[in-house]
Amino acid sequence: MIPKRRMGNPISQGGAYTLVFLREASSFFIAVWLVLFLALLHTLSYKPEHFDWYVKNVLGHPVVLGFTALALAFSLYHTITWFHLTPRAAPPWAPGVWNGDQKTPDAALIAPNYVAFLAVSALIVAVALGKVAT
Amino acid sequence: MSEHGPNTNEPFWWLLFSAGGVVSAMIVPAMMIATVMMGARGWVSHEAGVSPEHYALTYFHFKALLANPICKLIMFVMFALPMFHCMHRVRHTLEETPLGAWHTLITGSCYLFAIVACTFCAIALMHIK
Repeated sequence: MIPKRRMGNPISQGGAYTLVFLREASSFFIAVWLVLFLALLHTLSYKPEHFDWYVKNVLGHPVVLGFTALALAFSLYHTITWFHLTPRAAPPWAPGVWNGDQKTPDAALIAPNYVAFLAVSALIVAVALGKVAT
Repeated sequence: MSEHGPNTNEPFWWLLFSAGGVVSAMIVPAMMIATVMMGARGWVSHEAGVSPEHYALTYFHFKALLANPICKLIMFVMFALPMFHCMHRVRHTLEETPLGAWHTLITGSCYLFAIVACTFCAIALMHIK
């Protein structure tokens, strides 16, 4: 969370603090997008025409597409910052954190997150676009 | 105050925050890419005058997928944990601003929003047959 002592306009304080503020702001964009996604789930209870209308006129609206692209950028920023916390968040007793007396390099702890991220993302996109039999 | 410190429900919200952070980091970007692709395809096809029946495939595909109770549960987790994560962060960010004077109102509003959204999600998923 944002350090308690840094009050006032976060943007004007610049540097690392702005990056922290942007990371926190990412939540707002993701939350709004989740509401859009919730509405998409809701349309599945109705006829195909309702789903089509929502995809074409709401999700497909240029403003919403632009917002989703912005939310995607914030979401990827959250992903990067979250993965890079791994070396600090992993408990010392977790497998692989220590190799004998040597602590595993940070990069080696972070890299598997990206591998898992790419695999999960590929699976989700494939399922959503009907490329994988369900 | 108990012998181990103040009685508080904060650990519960931080637990949801942590779990939601992992799910958000791993899954949400791909979900967004999928909806952008769907939306963009709809927009482009709409401009090209493609009939609505074109999208029925996506509708029936999603419906068949979410008719499965396990898929419903996975979808609920994919929605609920990121939502609690986001609302927890929004709460703490707002508390750093001058609005932080209304701490109780901010906390209640953020978590209530998350709970209501998750309830709607559960209802929407239950109605998919």
